[in-house]
Amino acid sequence: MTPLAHVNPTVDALNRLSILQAHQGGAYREHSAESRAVLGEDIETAAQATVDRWVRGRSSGVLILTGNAGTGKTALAEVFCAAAGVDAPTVDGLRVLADGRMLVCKDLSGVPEMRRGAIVGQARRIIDGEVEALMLLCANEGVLTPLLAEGEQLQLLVEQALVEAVGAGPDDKILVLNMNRQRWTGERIWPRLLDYAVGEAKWAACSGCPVFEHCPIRRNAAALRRPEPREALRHLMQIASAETVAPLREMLTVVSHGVTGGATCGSVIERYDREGRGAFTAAEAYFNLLVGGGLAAEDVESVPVFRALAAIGIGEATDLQADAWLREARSSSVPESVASAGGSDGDVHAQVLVIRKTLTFAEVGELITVDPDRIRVEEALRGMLAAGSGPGYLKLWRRRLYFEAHTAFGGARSALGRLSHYRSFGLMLGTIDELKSGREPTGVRKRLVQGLNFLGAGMPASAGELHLPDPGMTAARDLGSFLPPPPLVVSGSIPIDRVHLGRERAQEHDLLDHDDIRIRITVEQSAGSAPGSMIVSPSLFEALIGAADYCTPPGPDAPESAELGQFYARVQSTIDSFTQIRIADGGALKIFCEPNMDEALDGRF
Amino acid sequence: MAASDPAAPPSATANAVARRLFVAAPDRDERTQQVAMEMLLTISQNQGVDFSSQKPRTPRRANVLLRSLALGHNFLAGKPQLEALGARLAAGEDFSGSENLGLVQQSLRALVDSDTLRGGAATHLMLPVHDSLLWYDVRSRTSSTADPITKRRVSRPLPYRPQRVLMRGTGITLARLLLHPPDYLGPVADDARRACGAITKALSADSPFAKLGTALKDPEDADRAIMGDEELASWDAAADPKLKGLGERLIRHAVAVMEDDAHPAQVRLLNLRRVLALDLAWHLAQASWTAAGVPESQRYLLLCHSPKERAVNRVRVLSEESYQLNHQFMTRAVIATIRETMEKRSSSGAGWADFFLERKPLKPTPSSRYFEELRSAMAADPNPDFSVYAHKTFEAPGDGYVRPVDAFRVLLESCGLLLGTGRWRYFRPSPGLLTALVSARPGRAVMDADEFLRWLRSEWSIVIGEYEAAGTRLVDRAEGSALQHNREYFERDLVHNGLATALSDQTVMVGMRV
Repeated sequence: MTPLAHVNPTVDALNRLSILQAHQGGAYREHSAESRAVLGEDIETAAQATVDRWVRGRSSGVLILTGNAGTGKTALAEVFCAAAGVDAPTVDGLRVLADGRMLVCKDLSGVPEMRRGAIVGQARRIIDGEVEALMLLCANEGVLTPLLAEGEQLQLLVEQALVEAVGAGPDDKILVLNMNRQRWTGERIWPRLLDYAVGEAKWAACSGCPVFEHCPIRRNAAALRRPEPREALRHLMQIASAETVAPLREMLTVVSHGVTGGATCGSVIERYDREGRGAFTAAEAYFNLLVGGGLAAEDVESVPVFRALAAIGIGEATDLQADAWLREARSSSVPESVASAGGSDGDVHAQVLVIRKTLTFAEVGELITVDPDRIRVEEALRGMLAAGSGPGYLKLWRRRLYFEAHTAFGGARSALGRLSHYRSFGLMLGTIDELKSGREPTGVRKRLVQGLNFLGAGMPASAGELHLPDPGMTAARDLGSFLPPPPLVVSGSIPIDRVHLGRERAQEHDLLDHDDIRIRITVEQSAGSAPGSMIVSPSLFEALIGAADYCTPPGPDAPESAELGQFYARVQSTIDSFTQIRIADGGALKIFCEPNMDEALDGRF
Repeated sequence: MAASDPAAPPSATANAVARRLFVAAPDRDERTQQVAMEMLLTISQNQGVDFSSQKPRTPRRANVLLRSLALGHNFLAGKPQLEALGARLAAGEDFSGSENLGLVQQSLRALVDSDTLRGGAATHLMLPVHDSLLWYDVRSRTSSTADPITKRRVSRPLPYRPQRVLMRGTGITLARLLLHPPDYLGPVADDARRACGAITKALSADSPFAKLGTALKDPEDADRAIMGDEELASWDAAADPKLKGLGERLIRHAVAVMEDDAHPAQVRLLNLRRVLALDLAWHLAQASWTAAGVPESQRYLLLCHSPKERAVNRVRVLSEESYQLNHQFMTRAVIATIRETMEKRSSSGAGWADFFLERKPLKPTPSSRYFEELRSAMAADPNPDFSVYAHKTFEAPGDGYVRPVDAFRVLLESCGLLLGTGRWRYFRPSPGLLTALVSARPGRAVMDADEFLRWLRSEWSIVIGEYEAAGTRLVDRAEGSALQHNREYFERDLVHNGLATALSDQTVMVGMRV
């Protein structure tokens, strides 16, 4: 038996970071010192710089941090205390430090209910200038909001932070940071996040390991140091972050699982000893693990980011070319990256278990193409779609192509569109790029309006105006039905030049790390009324583009239905409705002229 | 609901038992759609009526012109002057200068309430999103006369007339609670007025259908006739203080839903419809629990939000059980009421004549024979065990006594709370009902999920998470984690439907939109 001499502490540290492991102390700031000793100092974030700058730049003020568990509030409390030159508190209640000049409450939820009001009262005294001190208040909005009076400055700023990520009073004397809006997929911070787990130096301890070549963990880490998989994963994480709150703790859980799959150095060596070179397959590869491979359905369900990643369905969409490449991976006609993904001897990530043998993707592709044994071919084809409880090798192949050979598709955005349920995310990112450079892509705007017109008013061909269906019709409309809707009554129309696309956040700032992954549709209405707007997530974008291009419904219980209904209600409340009855008939609005009932009742038609 | 003489000895006809038990006792033919339509029609027809000096107006509005157009059926058949007009409307053909009438007809089909498309067109209803789209059930009859030459009988259709078909008066009772609250609702009478005002305003909101309704107004509907005896009995039934709980809930929910400016008027009306049906269903459950002496630990409706397969979904199984239990409680309550009526009748010394049937049928039927035998047996029994006779009565052919029990199921199904069939029925609110529940919360305040769940428990005895299950038999039957997950799925459904916002540390704020 191979001695367990080569244990890389990074593997254990990563496993401790995962909230899916039995021992998950490392996932909690208070218990993560051991993991940090191995993985290194915290990832440098814009929020850290903001807090440090804020503390050093004033003698009095209130800094409020809100956000889900695992978004980094406790780490920022440490930054706050370090900048102020005091020791970070280890308990949840209000701590008065530096002779009353520093007040720190690192978790308001941990304070008994009856004492929470007094802590918020202390913040008010600082804001009102009755007391000169710096105060840090880490609070769950659900706990904080009921303690604030309707309309008071603090309440307005907390609410602003919910919408805008940041709420700042004059001179930043009050600063509210919504850590839920901190995004880890921005160009600057994304490499740092991955390097925290897979940085080369942390894996130096693997050299000399007897299973060095065949270890899926080491190979996963190495793969995630390459630019193609990083970019591919970033796009998946962008979608997940747009669809759900993606706190650091969950992001690290995903990366950790993507690297180790829950295995340890010991378990890998033991399995290799037992099963030899065929011990590990593509099912243990990062491209499968990162989207929930190897996890029980309940575990995927319990981590919202994993849930969102699984819902992207990478590898679940059929692509004729990608599937054909599996059979031709050894042909000289396929792009080099695809041939490489087909695998060579010893490439653990390309191995799949077919007909009780371990074959590479390229070998199995050849088998199903040219093998004369019909029974072997049939069995191999069965494995294409399902392999025990795991995914069939076709799905694994597509996933590998997405992560490692997306250049053959024209880039990760294009590959994502072809191999997942998010066919238009590339278009969405392109739209955001244009918006960042100050241009409004009119073609996309037209398609989005067209999509809205189909979903809302049942007018697929109309894009010159945004048609607002009668609210009764909206309430009665089944957005999930594939049946064409009847002609609907339209209560108002807004010219397309008064519909605008914009970036998600109205205010631009660098107080938190950010990544533009959603779009705002704004409708200018009649003079004097506030514009109606709607945030378009990748899934809603998908629904709108799908509706514009193919007249597809998003589904009856889809969140998009509720979002659209509320958008129309916001816009409709301020428009001037048509005075005549107008009905959507295909791409045109037709006006109903009333009959002369006096004549009709007299029998004159 | 027929008028009854309070001095008459108590009888145990199916209707009388249901009225005694529930007061507002919907029939199983009365779905949410019919109850709401009758209530809205009653409110609409009684705008501006001073009930201290005037009698209430009937909800029987036929709306035959617009109805013919929307449903594509000639409801003017049999009216010599208007039959041709009805045919044009039903065919969607333009006339007298109209344009695109056919298109309007197709468009109106989007608003036909698909849940009412059972039976003939006479009982099809529209979604009640505007006053002009409200109408009462109608029925056509035929008149048969002998041809003077051939002597053969010829039938010809008589005009459609508004008539009780599927609307049976429950909506009138509910409308009375809002329009003219009885004394026991005095403290909330102002809220009732607010609710009526808001309902009337929503019904008459600016809408394309207002113009259509005006253009196609049925001249005969202009006459707002007063209620007939049956309708007045339903109106007067609301005076029974047994409806206090229902009345208070209906009023506060109606005010909240109709003043919720997060939704347009049309959506508010649909939300009102769902909530009033749930209030009525809760009233039936509550009355049954009291009559059957159900312990507090069994008075709940468990909602299942977990999407897992039934085989591994404990909450789903317990939700099915919760429905089945309530079904049994209702049966027990009906039987208990029959027994109580028998005891009263026996002590009144009035004998058993007409005890089971209001009138003797012209020809004997299985049920009339059954009741006659039962009556004879009771009359001959010197020491009758009324529990046994009450059970026998409940099991009489014709299922008359089961109808109010079935009404509970029908209401819950049609308001979007009950899913499944047979033994597998379980509680899970539709997105529409969830919207209505959130809209009905007090003061339109933002509530955290804990508070909202507590409120659902107190308003409708709804249990979702483990805290609301405290004190119920669920404590011993479900693992806390199963109910905790159920609650998490419920919160997710709220967030996905835009009814709540998920904040930090798993806090969900209901009614907050960011």
